[in-house]
Amino acid sequence: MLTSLRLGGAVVTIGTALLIALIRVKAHEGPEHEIEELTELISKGETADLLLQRAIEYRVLGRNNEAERDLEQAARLDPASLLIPCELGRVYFTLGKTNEAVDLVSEALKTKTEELTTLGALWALRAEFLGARSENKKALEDCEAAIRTQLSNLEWYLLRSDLHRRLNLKKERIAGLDQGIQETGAGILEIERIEALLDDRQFQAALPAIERELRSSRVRSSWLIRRARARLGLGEQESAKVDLENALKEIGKRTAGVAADATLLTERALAHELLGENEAARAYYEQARDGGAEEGVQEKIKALKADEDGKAKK
Amino acid sequence: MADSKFYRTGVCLLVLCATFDPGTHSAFATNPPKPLTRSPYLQFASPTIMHVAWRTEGPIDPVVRFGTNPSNLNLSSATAAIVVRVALGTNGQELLPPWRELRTSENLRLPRLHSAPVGTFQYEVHLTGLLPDTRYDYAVFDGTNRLTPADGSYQFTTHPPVGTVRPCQFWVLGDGGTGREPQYAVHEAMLDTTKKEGHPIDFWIHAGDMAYGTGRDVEFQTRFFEAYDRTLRHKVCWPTMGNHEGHTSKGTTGVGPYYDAYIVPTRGEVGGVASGTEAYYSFDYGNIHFICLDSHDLDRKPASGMVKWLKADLDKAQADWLVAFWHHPPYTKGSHDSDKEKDLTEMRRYIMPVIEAGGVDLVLTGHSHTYERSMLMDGAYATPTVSENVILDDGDGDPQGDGPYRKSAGIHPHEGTVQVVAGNAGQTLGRTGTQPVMKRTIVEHGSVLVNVNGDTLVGRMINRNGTQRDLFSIVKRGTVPISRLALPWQPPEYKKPANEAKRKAAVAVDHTVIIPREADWEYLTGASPRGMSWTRLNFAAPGWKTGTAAFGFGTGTYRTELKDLRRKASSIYLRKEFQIAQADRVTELGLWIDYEDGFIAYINGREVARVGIARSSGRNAQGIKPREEIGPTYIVLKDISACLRDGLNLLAIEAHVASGESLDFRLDPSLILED
Ligand SMILES: [Fe+2]
Repeated sequence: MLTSLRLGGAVVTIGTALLIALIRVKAHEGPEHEIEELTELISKGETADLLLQRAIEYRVLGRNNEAERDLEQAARLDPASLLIPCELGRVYFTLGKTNEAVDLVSEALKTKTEELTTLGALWALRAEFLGARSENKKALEDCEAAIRTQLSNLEWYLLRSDLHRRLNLKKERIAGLDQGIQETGAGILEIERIEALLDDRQFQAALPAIERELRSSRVRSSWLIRRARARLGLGEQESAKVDLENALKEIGKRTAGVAADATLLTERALAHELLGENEAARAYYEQARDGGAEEGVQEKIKALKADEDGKAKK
Repeated sequence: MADSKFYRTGVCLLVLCATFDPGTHSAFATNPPKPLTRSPYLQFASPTIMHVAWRTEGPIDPVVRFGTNPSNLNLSSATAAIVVRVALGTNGQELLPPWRELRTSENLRLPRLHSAPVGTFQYEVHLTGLLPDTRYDYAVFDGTNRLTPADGSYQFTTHPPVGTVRPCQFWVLGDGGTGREPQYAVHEAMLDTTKKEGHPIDFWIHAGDMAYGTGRDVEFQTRFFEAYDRTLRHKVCWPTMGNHEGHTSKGTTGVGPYYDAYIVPTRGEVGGVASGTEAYYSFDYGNIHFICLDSHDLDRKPASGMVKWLKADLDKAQADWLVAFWHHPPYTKGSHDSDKEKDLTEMRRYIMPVIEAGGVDLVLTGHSHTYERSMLMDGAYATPTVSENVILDDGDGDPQGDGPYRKSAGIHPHEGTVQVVAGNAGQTLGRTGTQPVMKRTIVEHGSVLVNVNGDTLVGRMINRNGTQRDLFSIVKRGTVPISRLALPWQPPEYKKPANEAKRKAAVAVDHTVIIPREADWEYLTGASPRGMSWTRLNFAAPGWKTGTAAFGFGTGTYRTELKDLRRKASSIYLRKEFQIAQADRVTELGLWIDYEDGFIAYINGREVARVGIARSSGRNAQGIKPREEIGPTYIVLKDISACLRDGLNLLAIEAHVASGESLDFRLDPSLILED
C-alpha cells in the first residue's frame, strides 16, 4: 500500500550555526552523566555538534579549560559555524584570554551569512570584549553594527548606553536610548534614559519622569535617590537630604538581618555617597562588589578611597 | 486561498500492517485535520486581549470567529492584527513546484519561521477589546470554510480585571517534552483531577524543557503541541525556556523555534514593567503578579539587563501574591545538583536575593527531574546550601499537618519563599542526594496544581496516577513576626541504591511503524560486502537473497533460519528501502530491534546507530561484546536530519556475533517513526 509519495517540500537547510541536528531524547541526568554519555558517543565518532554539547556541559560545571579544548576541536571540524565562535569566544573571555576572544570573533565576522541576528550577536560580543579592554570607541562601532542587524535587541541598546557613558558622549547616549525605547518599549531603557539625563545634568528634564515613577512604585528607594540627585543638581540640598534619608530607611527595612542583594547595596552606597558619608558609601560599595556588582562599582571604591586618603593627608 | 492539492499527508508509509507493540497507547496523540498542521492554541492573554495562533500547510485566508454564545460566533477577527510567519525554504534551495510558487515577493517579505517545514504558514491573531473574565467560544476559518470543529473545546476566558480577588487555579510542569508515555500520563492525571474536582485550570506555566532533545521545530510540534493539544486550545500556556530549547533558540537574540512557538507580552500589556524582550516578561492575573526569567542563556549578574528589569518590576508590583518562574532551580538534589552547577548556583547567588527582597512568595522551576518542595525559607544564597538560619518555618505547610506557612498580608521583603522544583512531568527521573531545605523530595512523575483563593495559596503535587503526593499552603494574613531557625528539621539522608538498573529508551507515544517486524529484507550471509556502497540506494546486489525477519539461529523462532552459520564467526547484512514524504517533518527515527550480539545501522550510507561493536565494520568489525540483556530494545537513530531524504531512503544493518562459538545469533529489526 503506497500512498502519496512526494508532492512537495524539501529539507530545510538552515545554517549550521543555529541548528544542532543531533537527536538525543535520552535521560538528562545532570551534567556529569551527560558528559559521560557524550564522551562515549564522541569516542565512536567525533562531530562538532557532540563536542559543542559536551563543552556546554563542561561550562555548566565551571570546567572551562575542557570546554575550551572541545570548542577548539569543534571549530576545526565545522569552520563555517557561527555558533561555535560565539561559545568559544565567551570561554576565552571567561579564562581571561580577551585577545584570543577578539581575534576569534573578528575572524568569524568575515563569514558571509544570511543569519543576520547571529552576526549581530558576534558584533555585540566583540563590543563587549573590546569594552573590557577599554577600547570603547571600537567597541561602540561594533555595538552600532550589532544594533543595525536587529533593531529590537534591548541588550545592545544597554551596551551602547554604557559605552556612550564611558566615552562621555552624553547627548548621543540620550538619543540612542530614545531609539531603543522606540524600538523595544523596554522599561529599563526608560530608567537608563533618566540616568543619562541626570548624568548630563538635565535635572529639570528628568524630574517629571522621576515623580511619575515615585507615584507608581511600591518600593521607592531607587527613585528617591534619583530625585535626590536631581534636587542636589538644582541646589535643593535640604529636600534632597530628606529623600536620601527616606531611601536609606526603606533600604534598611528591606535588608535587616539578611545578606542583601548587590543592587540594593549599590543603592545604599550611593545614598550615603550623596549624603557625603564616604566611609559608609565605600563599605557598601565593597559589599556590593563582593555580591557580584560590576558596573562602575570598582571605580567608585577607588575614587572614594582616594578621597579618604586625601582627607587623611590634609 | 491555496488549492487543496497542496495539502499532503505529512509522512507516507510503505507498510502499515505492523505487529509491533511496545506497550504504548498512541490513541492519546492528536494530529490536526488538514490544512492545519498545528492546531489553534492560545497565547498572551489579559482582561481584554487574547492571542490565537495556528499553522497551516500553504496559505489560507485566516479568520477567527468568536462570541460569548457558542452557537452564535458573532464577532470576527476581520479588524484584528494578524502576524503571518512563513517557512519558504532558503535561497538556492531545491524546492518542488507548490513551494516554489509560494516564494512570491509578497510572501518573502513576511517574517520567517526559524526552521519550520517548508510551506508552513503560522498565523497569530491578536484579539483586543474583549470583556474581562468572560468566556468566549472561537473557531478558525479559511475564509468561510470552518477548520476547527464545533465541539465546544475551542474556547477561552479572558483574565479578570487586575486586582480582582477570586479563586484561581494554574497548572505547573517542567521537563515533560519527551513524547514518551509518562508525559501523556502526567497530562491525563491533571485533566482527570481537575475534572473530578470540577475545577478546571485557568492557565498553565511550563517551566522549560518542553521539546527534547534540542528544541527543534519538529520536536516542538510532536512533543509539545500535539502532546498537549487538548489543553493548549483553551488554556494559555506561559512558558520559560529550558536548556534543551536553548540548543536551537537564543535568549540573546530572541530567535529560534521557542520564540516562534510563543507570544508573550513585552511592553507591559498585562501588567508589570515592559521587558522589551520575549526572553523574560511578567503578567498579572487577578491579584497575582507572575514573573518569568530566562535562566538559560542570559547574564544573571546584578548589572545585567534582566536583573535590572527584575528589580524594576518587583519595585512596582502591587499584587497580593508574587510568583516567579524559570528553568534552573536554585535548590535541588534531583537529577541536577545546585551545589555544583554554575547555572543553578548563579540563580541562587544573584537572583534569589532580588527575588526575596522583592517579597516573592513562590518560585517555580524545573530542570531537575524530580519533585522537590522546600520549607518556608529566606536568605539561602551560599554554596553549598545549608538549612541553618535560612528556614523560617520547618513544618510541612499542610493545614491538616503542621499548619500552613504564614506570612504578613501584602508584599514584604524576606518573609519567606517556597521553592517548587517541578521537573517531573515526563523525562527520566533522577536523584543525586539530600537538599537540606526541601521538606519533600518525591521521585515520581507528576505535576503541580496551584490554587490561590484570597489570602491563601495551596500547592499540590499530583502524580501520574492522579494521586495527590504533596500539599502545602501559604496564608498571608495580619502581621507575622519572622524568626530564623538555628537548627531546623533535617530531611533523612538519601542513599543512592547500589545497583541501579540501566534505564531503557522508550518509543514515542505518537509513532508509526515504517518497517514492521517480519518484513522482507535483502540479506547477505557467509560473506562480507566490499566497501560501503551496500549501505546506499541504487546498489546492485548480486548474491544477495530475500528473506523475512527475524533472521538467526539458536533459541527463539526465526522466519529466516540461518543454521549454516552455527558455530561460525556469523555476520549478516540487511538492506531495505522505505519512504518518507517530507524529511523536515520527521522528529525521530528509531529501531525497535532484537539482536545478538552487536549491530551497526546506516541510512543512505551514513552510520546512525552502533551497538556492541567498538570499532570498524564489516569483516573488520572489532571489539564485539556479547549482549547480556534479552529481548527487543529501542534505539534512537542519530544524525537523521543529515541523511534522511524526501521520498525513497535506504536502511542497512549489519550484525555480528561476539565469538565463533556462539550458539545464538539474532537480528529482528523494525523501523519506527515519530512524526
Ligand atoms: Fe533542563
